[in-house]
Amino acid sequence: MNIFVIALSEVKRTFKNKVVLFLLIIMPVMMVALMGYALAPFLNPNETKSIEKFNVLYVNHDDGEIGQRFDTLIKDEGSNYFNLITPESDDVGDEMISNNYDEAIIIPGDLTEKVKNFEEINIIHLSSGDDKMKDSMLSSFVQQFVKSVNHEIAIIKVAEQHQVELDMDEIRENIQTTVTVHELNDTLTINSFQFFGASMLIFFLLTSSMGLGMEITNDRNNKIFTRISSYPVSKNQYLLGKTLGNSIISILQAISVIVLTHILFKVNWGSDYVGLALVVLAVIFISSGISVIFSSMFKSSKTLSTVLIVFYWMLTFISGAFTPIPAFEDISKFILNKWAFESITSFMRGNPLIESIHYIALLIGLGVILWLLGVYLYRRRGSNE
Amino acid sequence: MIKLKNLVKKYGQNIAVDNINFNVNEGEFFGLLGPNGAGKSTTINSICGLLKIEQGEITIDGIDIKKNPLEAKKRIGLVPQELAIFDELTASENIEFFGKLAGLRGNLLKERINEALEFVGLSHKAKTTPHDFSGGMKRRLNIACAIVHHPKIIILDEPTVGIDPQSRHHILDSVKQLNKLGSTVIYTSHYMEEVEAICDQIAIIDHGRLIAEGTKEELKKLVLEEEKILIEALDVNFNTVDEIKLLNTIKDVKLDENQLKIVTSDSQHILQDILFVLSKNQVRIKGIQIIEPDLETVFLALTGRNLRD
Repeated sequence: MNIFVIALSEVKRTFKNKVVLFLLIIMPVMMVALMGYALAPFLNPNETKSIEKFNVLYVNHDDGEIGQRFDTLIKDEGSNYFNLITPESDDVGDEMISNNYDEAIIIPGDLTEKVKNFEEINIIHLSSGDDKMKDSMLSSFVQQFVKSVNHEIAIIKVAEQHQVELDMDEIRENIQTTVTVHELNDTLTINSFQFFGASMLIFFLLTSSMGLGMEITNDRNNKIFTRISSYPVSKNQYLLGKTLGNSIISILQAISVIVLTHILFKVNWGSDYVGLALVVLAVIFISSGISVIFSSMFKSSKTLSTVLIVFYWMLTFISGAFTPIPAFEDISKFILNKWAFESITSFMRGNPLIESIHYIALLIGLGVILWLLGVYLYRRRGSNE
Repeated sequence: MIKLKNLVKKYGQNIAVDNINFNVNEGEFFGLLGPNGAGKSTTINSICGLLKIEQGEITIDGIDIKKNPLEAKKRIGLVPQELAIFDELTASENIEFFGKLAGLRGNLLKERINEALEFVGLSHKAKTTPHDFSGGMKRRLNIACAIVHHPKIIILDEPTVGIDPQSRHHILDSVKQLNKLGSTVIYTSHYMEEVEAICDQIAIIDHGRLIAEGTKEELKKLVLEEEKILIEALDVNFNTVDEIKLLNTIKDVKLDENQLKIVTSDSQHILQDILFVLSKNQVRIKGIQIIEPDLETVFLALTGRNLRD
């Protein structure tokens, strides 16, 4: 129970300090605004580059109903984006290389057959990988069709098993097969506000958790810790209470940054809220661990905050989160900011959690290591001595 | 209520507390006297379970502090030497925080907060942050935070350092009141006047060692009942001084300008003889002062140095 008493006191004291509150909530939003506007020309390719129609080698080996459906779809809705080219030879791959085509689609001959047998279908999408925008657009288009057909198959299969009669036209209507330009754009790149929304969120989460280290150091110096320890409160309860309090503040900060940047700058944070929450919590977990370690190393909270702020600035700078720096591209792969940044921007692009799970695992793993070290140092240091 | 047995505390190679033994009985007002760095705070912190004890035993109300620190701590209210309060919280919120740590909730907590504020004379400042308090008011709030949960034992570590006489007076009165209400009090100070004025039982610590323990009267007996008589007088010559030295129970006589400093073991009976000698030698007396031995003298006699050295 004392853990919550200490945690709530932390939150209360923070909210009473107007300067701290300003730094926690307004500063990140201001930074997103400043850097978002200042670096917009360098980071907003969608604003300067329109999506032009591009050539796609297209082979349809399926004469059945499903092959025809895809044919209609790509020639109708896809006509705004793709010039369909019929390959001259059978080897599509060779032709892609020889004629410099970036993308190709091959419809297997057994597509309709597979549907009849209630088997999952797939359409072959070949990409040179040279143009991520084209790759992403075509991939979205194809995948959306494949997904809708596979949904149909699944529904029919289940209906048959349970002997239910189906109105297939209605089902098809409910399964979206259209792909809009707006959705395609969203999957491609992030804009400058998204870029700095993500990078500033990570940076300020790191710096706000720094408060934990400063609190521990201050409490030790002004004997608040001694006093708290004279009550029935163990050292672990104290640390957990302080960590919980600071984590609540950091979570509130993250929510306010996400909501305010969405309202003010229309930052699209994606729809994977679980993933976003996981990254936020992992960053708070890591920075709390760092704070505990540093609080055991430094006697003064001023020294601690100075060292940590320089440390976090360096991490953020090297990770390319202030502005992408090609020289640091390789080293940035080992920086926690980069892992968190890549995860958040992946969600912004509409990618599922699974695509960032390796980064999140790295973040949590690092957090566990830092906390183990932090707790060891914290317990070793006789804080009242 | 509190028992210390062979307590030893070391910081590296330095021995801060060296084999200290003492008992504090229930309801007693126990003074721990010693110069800065003598080991008073280390002893206090050990009693409060804040330090790892290398050797020895401490029991609080029958509970071994090493074996069951959280249970023992429920009986203690510590007023640290430093102002351990939150500047961002109001006086009331500060007391509330520490009250909650002690396990108080709801209406009882509210009652106790008001009671503590009233006790230290800060009811009118309940909603004010300590930032706007004087040094003395902060000290009083420091005390209020320690008494909110009605601890059986109240430990005050130099609670009057650096404050104005009015606040000091208020604090001393409050502490005496707490003791009268039944709390056992341990009071550390290097101000011997305070300890002498309020404590029933006194322990003197120096260099981590307990050098004497007893009531005020018992401690004074340790310095062989020396008393001083100071006489402001005109026309004193050295013959008069020599004549006084010959009197019974006189230990030492010094003439410092117009002041005679006489050390005796029985001022009450010898004063008449001294006045007779002075009168006989036609010395004009302007003032007489008798100084009984104090704890400063006791400390000086036991350690060879002053309390504030």
